[in-house]
Parts: sequence; structure tokens; C-alpha cells
Amino acid sequence: MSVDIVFAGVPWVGGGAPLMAPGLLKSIVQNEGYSAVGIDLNVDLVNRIIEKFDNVEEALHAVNFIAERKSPRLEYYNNHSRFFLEEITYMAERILSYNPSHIGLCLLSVDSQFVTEYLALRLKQMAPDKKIVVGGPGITTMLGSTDYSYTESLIEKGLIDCYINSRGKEGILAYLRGDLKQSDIDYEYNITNTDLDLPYPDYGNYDFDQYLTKAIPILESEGCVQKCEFCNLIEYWPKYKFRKSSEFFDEMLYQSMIYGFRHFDVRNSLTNGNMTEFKKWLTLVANYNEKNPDKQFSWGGYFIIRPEKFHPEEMFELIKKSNGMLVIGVETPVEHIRIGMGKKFTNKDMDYHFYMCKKYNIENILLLMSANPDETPEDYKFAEQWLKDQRPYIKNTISTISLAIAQVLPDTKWDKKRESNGWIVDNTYFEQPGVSDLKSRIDHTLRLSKLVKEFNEW
Amino acid sequence: MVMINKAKLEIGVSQTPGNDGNYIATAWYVNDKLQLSFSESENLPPVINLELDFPATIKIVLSGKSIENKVFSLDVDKVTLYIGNIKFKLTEKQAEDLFNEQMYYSTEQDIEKGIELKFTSADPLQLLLDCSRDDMIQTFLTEEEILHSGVSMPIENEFRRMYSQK
Repeated sequence: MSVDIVFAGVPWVGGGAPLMAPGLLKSIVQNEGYSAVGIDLNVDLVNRIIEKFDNVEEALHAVNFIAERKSPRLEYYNNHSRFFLEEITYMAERILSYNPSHIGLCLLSVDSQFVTEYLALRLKQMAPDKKIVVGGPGITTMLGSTDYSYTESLIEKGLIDCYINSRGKEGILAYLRGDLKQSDIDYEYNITNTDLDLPYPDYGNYDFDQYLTKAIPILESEGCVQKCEFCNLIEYWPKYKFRKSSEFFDEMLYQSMIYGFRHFDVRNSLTNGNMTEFKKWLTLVANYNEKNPDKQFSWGGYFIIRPEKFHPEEMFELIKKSNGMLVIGVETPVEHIRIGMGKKFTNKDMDYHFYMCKKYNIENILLLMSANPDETPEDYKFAEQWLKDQRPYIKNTISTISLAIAQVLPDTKWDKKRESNGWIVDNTYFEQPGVSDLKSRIDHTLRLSKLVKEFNEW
Repeated sequence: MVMINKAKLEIGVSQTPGNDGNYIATAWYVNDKLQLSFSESENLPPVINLELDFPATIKIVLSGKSIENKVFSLDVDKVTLYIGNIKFKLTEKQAEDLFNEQMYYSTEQDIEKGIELKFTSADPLQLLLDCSRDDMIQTFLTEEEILHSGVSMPIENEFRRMYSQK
């Protein structure tokens, strides 16, 4: 038995949840008459590392080796490089067991580049006649970047036959039809259509028992309604697109029936971009849960805070009834900085949001950025105190805080105004003469980091 | 499934004739089998091609009657590994690591010593990995350095969470 193409999600992807791309791509090409398989190689590797290493610190070294090509010492290097090559062989054998004529390697982030390179090599060693195509946001170093030096180097070495730098379904279909070949240098292969007219992903080749997080990935929208200055999603998905709530809900019903799971991981930039559809969808899920108390749906997704008039108490009640978990980009508690960067909500709106979430026992994951542009030492003090003041919400409302130092990413609004604002940017890290230097930014981040650690471990 | 454990190594070489107009003679062995040999009167091609079957040991035996002013060297900027049709041009640093600093030969002691390159793994990919080993081995960064370099924190946090569910 053979198939036209195997799509494989390539490690490393953090979080351990099922990957969406292999299932979605499988479905897209099947609808056009191609035979396909979609597998998630990431979960296999996550589980093998967790099983193999008894010590979390050594396991972390193995993860760093695989995701970031870093090893702390020669003895670790020797151990991890052997393990890495064994895993690469296992992945290649698994892909080739389906006897595909084409292999599609899906890279979610830059952390998949190392594995992709060696996996492609192993595949070419074991089956030189197979065609390999790579795609996904991870083919470049930064989301939205147009620097394809990584994939060009893979082509130059003969490791892959083609790469697809487009979103949506046209790229992969054009490739399978034979219309997309990097060797045809005059051919325009950057197809940028990003329509959301996508079939339901087919996760039939996934073993959901393997996942620590048993969630069905699902897509409700693409892009974002906000144009935050630090964010590079705007370049990648310039236009916000959404699905109708009824269609989205129908997919939940279908996927839960097929796979038997009722928790959904909503894989888009925000779930409440279109408030009309969001409320309709919450109502559909809440009604379903009321009618099916033993088989309730639950979901988690990115969410933006808005003023009370847009987010009345009934909405929080619906979020609770639909068993929602919210991932919130607060970025900074310094109100004028946050509003200036494009997050249009006040601290009063935020207090209202947490009050409501506490009242309805809704879990929030908070995303914070430290040492943002224009933040002064006074603002740093305010941010640190603000974090301490959130203790009443620890665990009952805010389950986790994720902290990262603010960076100027390529193609963002910050990037475009860095020269006119006089920022000194080294790689993606910046100093702002007269406002903050790198040392004070790092010191502040370390203080926040300590608080976050205490917070998360509490 | 058959795995290709054969590879081809292209090594750039340079030499200068001595006062007698001759070169340092070289004999190239892979796994104790002679693959190539060049006498003192022969000028070497700029690139030597060796067929490797892993695990592989390359021995380069050097000889010469008068060595005065004769120089033989391996060129770190012209080393390429082929696995099947796949081509990896090594960086100068990777080639230096591969040669383990055995690059320049101009004295009698050098000639006696010869050159030996050992690839102990049966897997040519191990050689490729090892070529980058020195770049990969890093003493772990301090928290401050991690923040500055922007690596590891999100990966670490997520992984710790998963591992705790073991």
C-alpha cells in the first residue's frame, strides 16, 4: 500500500498538544482526490524524552539540544546526539512505513528547523526517490519574515525538493499537481491566498492517548482585529477572517463525535475578535453543555479584554457555561504604555475582567512583556507592585503567568519606528537612551521573573 | 529498509615543491585499504575525493626523501561531505575540528606522524553532527544571559509543566 503524501508535524513544538497542520493538510489534499496521511511526530518525541530521562534537568538539556542545538557539556552532547539520531531514524521509518511518493514536513516554529534538516537527510539516505516539501511558519526565523535562507540552504544541499511559503490550501495543491517547483526559477510560488474555506482536519492517524493534553485543535479565525505595535502577526496574517459561529460549532460536534474528546484548543490569535459571532458561539456551546451535562464541551483560546459595555456580565456567564479558559495578552500593567502599543483597554477594564472571571471561576493564563519601550524605572516599580497585587487571583483566576522581555521583532510597527524614536536595537533587544538601558531592562525582568516563578509555583 | 552508510569526502589540498622540485608523497587509506597515492613527482589535484564506508578511518601516509621547503596542507575552506546526493560544505571551523588541528606538514616529524581521521560511528550523520559539536556545546547560560539571548525560557517552562505530569 502506498499514499501520495505523508504530512508530518516536526518537533520541537512546546506544550505537548496535538498539532493541527498535518490533520488539516491531509484533509485538504484528500478533498482533491489525493491519498494522504497526517502524523504528529512531536508527541512521540515529547513522550520519549519524558520516559527516557529520569531527571528533569537532563531531559531539559535534551530538549534544548533538539530545539536549539545547544548542549551544556561534551558528555551530554554525546548522549543527546546519539538519542537524537535514534529518534531521527525512528521518525524517518515511521514516515516511510506509509510508502509515500511525497513527504510534507510541517514546521510550526524555528524550533523545528534542526530536526527537519536531519530528518530530511535520513529520509534521503533511506529512500532517495521520495520527494520532500517543507512549509509552515517555522521555515523562517521569525513569523512573517521573507528571509528564506534556511529553506534555500536545504534545497542547495539536496535535502528537500521544494518549500511552500504560502498560507491556505493553494500552495500544497499546486505542489502536488506539479505546478510548484523551486527549480523553475521563473515560477511564482509565493501564493498568498489565505482563505478560511478549509475542510475539517482529519486526525485519523493520531493516537490521542499519547497526548498529555487531550484536546482537539480547531480553527475559528485567522489574523487579529488589533494592530499591536509589538506584534508580527499583522504581516503574516494582514487581514482578520473568521468563521460563522454555527459552522465552527458544527465542527466541534463532528470532531468530538469522531474522536471522543470534548476539549477544544482554539488555534487562532483570538477567539473574541468578532463579538457577535463569539457570543453566538458561546451560546451554542453553553446550550449544548446544559443539554449534555455528562458530555460537556470545554475550550481554551486567546482572548482580548474590552471595556464592560462590550463584555457584559452575561458574556462571562456564557464563558463559564461553555467551560472556557482564556489566554490573555495583558503585556504590561502600565496603562498608557499598553494603550500606546495598541491594546485598547484600561486597568479599570482589566480589574473588571478579573473580578468577573473570579466570580464565575474562569481560568486565565496571563501573557506579560517586561521592560517595554517608553517604560521608565517608575513604571518598572509600578509593574512589579501590580504583579504583587494580583495575589488574590492566584490559582483561582490566574492559573499561569508567562513572561518575556519585550523585543523589537522584524516587520512590526516597533521595528518601523525604531530609528525615528532613537532606539538602539541589537538583534531584537533594544535600549532607549534617556529612558532605559539594557541592564536596567534585564534587572527589572529578573525581578518580575522571580515574582512570576513564585506565582506559578504557589 | 536499507540505510546508506556510504559517503564521499572531498578534501582540498595544497602543496609546494621543495628545493629538489619534488613534493611530499601521499598515500590515502580508508579503513586500511589504499584508495589513492601520489608520488613525489606528482602534483596533487586541488581536491582529493575519498569514498567512505562508515565507521571509517582515514590515514594519510606521508613520505619524502628531502623535505626542504616542502609543504603539504589540508585546506579547511575546501572540505565537503556528500551523503548520497546530498552535499554539506563544511565551514572552516568545522573542518578544523574534523582535522583535529592536523593540517600543515613541513617537517620530518610531521611526515613521520602522518594524519589519521577517525569516524567511529556507523552513521555518517553522526559525523555531520560532530562537525558542529563545538558550536553546540555551551556552558549553560545564566538567567541574565538567557534573557539577553532570548532563548530557552518558554521552552523550559512548557517542558517542566509537561514533565511534572510524568
